[in-house]
Amino acid sequence: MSNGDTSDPHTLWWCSCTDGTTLAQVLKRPQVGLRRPDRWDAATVGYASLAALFTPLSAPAAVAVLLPGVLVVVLRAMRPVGDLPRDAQPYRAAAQWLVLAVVGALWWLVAFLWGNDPEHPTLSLLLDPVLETYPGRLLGYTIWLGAGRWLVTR
Amino acid sequence: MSPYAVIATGFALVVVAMLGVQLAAAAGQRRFHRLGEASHAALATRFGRWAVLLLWLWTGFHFLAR
Repeated sequence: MSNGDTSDPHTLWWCSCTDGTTLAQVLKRPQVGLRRPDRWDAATVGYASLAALFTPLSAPAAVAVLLPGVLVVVLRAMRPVGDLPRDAQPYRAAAQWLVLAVVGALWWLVAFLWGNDPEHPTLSLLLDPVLETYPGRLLGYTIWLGAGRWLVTR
Repeated sequence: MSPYAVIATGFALVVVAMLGVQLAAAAGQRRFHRLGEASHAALATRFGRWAVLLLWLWTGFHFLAR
């Protein structure tokens, strides 16, 4: 799965590691692989399955987002943030992801200024066909709520 | 290539780059860092904490409720 360049391991493509690890092996690692679901996972999917019943641009959908949104913000404000792992490089990590986020935001701006219509869609317009379906919204709510839970538990 | 295809390809490339960085970090490539590491670092500061929370909240409203 490498790009064929083996002269410098750091230049290899994302799924090929310095020790020749494959993507399948990476996905089995504890920090990547699936953990045992707990009651909060069940609650998350349960809430998502109810919230996804409400179509976007409706008051129930706004409430369905607002309820967990306020809960997460309040819980996060009340709980101290845990220590970073000893080997963490916070500034480098933040800078790396900030660059990616800025590139994404700039591309969103290009789409917005280019037209922001079906021929020149922003990300939300691109995702509309998916989020107009119940399974799409179920997946969206599950990912969003999972991210919120993650933010509270750091 | 239509404008739609150009824009969609651009968004896809950004997503692929993010997935690439995430998986490379998980694979042990030390020059890459996981999103969780960056988010956790942001949560450690008051400004970063509110920025991340507001971004998360906006994402929910924008994609799921707007």
